[in-house]
Amino acid sequence: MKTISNRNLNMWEESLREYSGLVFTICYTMTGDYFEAEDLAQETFLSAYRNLHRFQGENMKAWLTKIASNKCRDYLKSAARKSLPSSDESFIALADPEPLPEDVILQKDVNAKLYRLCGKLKEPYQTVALEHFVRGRDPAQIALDQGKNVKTIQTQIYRARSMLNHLWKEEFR
Amino acid sequence: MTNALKIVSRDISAHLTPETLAALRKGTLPLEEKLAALEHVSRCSRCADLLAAGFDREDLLAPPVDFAADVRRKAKNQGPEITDLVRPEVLKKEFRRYCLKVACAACAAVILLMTGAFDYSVDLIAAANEDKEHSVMGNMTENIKGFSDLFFDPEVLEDDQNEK
Repeated sequence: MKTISNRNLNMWEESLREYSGLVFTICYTMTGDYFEAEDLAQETFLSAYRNLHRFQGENMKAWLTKIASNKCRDYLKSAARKSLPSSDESFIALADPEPLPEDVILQKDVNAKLYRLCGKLKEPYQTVALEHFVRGRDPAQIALDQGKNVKTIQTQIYRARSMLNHLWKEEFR
Repeated sequence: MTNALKIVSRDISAHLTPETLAALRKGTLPLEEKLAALEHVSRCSRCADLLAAGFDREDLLAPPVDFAADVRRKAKNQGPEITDLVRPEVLKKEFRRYCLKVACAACAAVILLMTGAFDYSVDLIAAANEDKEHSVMGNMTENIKGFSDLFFDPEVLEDDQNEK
């Protein structure tokens, strides 16, 4: 039977708040892929959660970094990474290349890449993707603005993510 | 062989150089060296700490929206709630209770042995075996013999054997 102290669980919660950016940055730096970095960063925290009973309480930051490095190494070594779909219903939403408005503020290189890729999507995915992935707005906020159902927005975000994931691998790998 | 590969080894005392860590942070290492460096960092708390410490707060990327909420939701789905888990102090109490039960059982067994309770039981069994007339086995034997006598005449069988 696993035992997890309240102290360790609180530390994990605290680390999720404090080190999300660090872990995500490490994963993105190692893989160069925004969406893989998101998955690997999530896996890092989930792995830490599953193994909390082994954590001795010394240095959570170093422990998370070790797990993230392990995940990134496995990803890079893996010969059986996800293959890009050759035909997918999401491709029907790809738009003809058109320039995007210039009033969007670009903060990081990743945001610039995301912005560029979002421009390749057809509506309604383009707007939803820009709002969510570039401007960082959550589905509830987007749904409120657009007068749509939250579930609809969530579905659109999910599909946009799938398309962007594919585009990222095509364009930046 | 590059510096990173020379340094990366199973010997934990060999650490990554500051230059290697910086290159790893910037993402400029070639794949082979990056794998070797990541292999080392995944095993070495010191280098992991140094790698993490080298990222400036201003340079950190913002995680995707809902990242923390997604992680919490997945963590909740995969594991038990904290209330379902046993705390170490409860486990210790259970273990002490178990040891006490085993000790009591052992003492009781020793006491029974020393007082000769088992000898009395042995005498009873021996007496039962000697008194075959009243024993269960004795009764069963008589019943079987009576049943077989209904079909076979023992005197006839004896005569046949004598003739042979």
